[in-house]
Amino acid sequence: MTTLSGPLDNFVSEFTASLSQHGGDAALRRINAERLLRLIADQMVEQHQAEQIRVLSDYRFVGEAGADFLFQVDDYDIRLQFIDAPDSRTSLKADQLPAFAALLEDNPSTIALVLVWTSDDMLALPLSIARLRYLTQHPDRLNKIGGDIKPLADILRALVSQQTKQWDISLEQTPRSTARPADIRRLFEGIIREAIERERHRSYRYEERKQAAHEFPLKEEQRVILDVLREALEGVSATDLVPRLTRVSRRGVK
Amino acid sequence: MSASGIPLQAHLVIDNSLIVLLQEYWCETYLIRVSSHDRVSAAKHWLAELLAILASFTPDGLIHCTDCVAGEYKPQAGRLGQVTGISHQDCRAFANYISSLLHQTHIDDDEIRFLRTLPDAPKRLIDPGGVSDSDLSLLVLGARLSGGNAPVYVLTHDQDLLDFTSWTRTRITARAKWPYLLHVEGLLGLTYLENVHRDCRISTQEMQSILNFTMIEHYVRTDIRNSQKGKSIMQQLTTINTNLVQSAQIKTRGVAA
Repeated sequence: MTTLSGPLDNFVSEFTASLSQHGGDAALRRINAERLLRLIADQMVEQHQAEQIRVLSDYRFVGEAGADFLFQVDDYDIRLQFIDAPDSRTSLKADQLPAFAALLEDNPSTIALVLVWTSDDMLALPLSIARLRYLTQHPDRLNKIGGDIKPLADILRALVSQQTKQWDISLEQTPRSTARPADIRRLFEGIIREAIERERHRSYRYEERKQAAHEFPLKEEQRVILDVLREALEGVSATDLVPRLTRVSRRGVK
Repeated sequence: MSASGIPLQAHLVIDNSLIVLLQEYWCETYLIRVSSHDRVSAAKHWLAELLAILASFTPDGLIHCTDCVAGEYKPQAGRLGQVTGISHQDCRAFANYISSLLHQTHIDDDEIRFLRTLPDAPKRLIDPGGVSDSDLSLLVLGARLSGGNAPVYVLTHDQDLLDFTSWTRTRITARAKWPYLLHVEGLLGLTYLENVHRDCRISTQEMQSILNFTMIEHYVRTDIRNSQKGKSIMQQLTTINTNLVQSAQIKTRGVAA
């Protein structure tokens, strides 16, 4: 579950919206948007259990340096900033950009700032620091952002997927035979080794990630994955094995 | 007109969770100040006055409810039922009196089923443990009242119903059935009451007292000792108190104007 769902938290949100928004209708839009965000967050948390997503009210924790909400996912985070959208218009002004850029600069573990317009369809736009700098230098491009605006749920899913290594392997049991297990194992071992090698040679912007990649317990993780494969071939159900595999994706947590 | 905050002129659909909160607050705050034989009538009077204040902000002068929700109101289940000298018969008479202050409407099952079977409804909200049929009846009533210019507020303390209301407004299927569905807003009863307080004779002291009662009730139910919620609670308290100061200033400016 998210950590936004306490009864008093909800009252604090509604009370604050009724005081901080410019106009009563804006307050109601904000209240509805926060509830829809909570529903989207619940769905994300359920779909990505391994990433241990937590949603926090960012502004209350870090004050001016924060956005409205903080999505903590695994070892990175995504910040969400609400923008009032009367008549469901999704506009962005050049004078809003410096504050957004400062927010990303102050929070290096934030991979994106997602602007969310408080319309009923919760349209949103993800911004990286590079994109913000580009838009600041080319404010005329602000009129062209429309194509990148999508429903918030789609944007969050895409951001989380980009950061998560997807293993393209079906967990469904295949019919057993005497010859195939050995082939599958060899094939799988090869693919795993290649994938890990690719990961090790990835370039990272942040020093701590470089260090994490360098210290990746290669032999240990490979052993875990191949043990899981062996047990799968012996008939252990995928449901029992998934928690062990997803534990691997949490990078170093035993 | 409202001095600030959400628009106050609205049709009101009330869930008995708000009435229960107010009833419990009255018992905790006023019960010992009233002589034992006047307690039921004093509670009736206080609650009726508060509902009259809320009704004065509505275009039709009514506080709406559905018959099934009103029928679930059982004051004897709370503090009132534990007071020596107040019998269950007194409580039933109290419940009947409060029900008589509400404009009740019957909602057919098929409209409730329509909401529950909307495509892609969040499972958490519609599965067992989520919104009940009675909860949904309030939303149907709100949707029915949404034809005019004024917004319709469904006042409840049931977060699932609030979430479901916000979600339903986004559904094309629901909007096709009720074209003015976007006029329906789910609000915490306490939020509406606090906003109303800025514009009426409910004193800030009374509002503060209601908020304090709500917070204490919440914290009593939360196992704080074994949780990491200490910091969060301090933040809640600070924000609520800061907001209330701001709200009181708005009220004072409104009175002066």
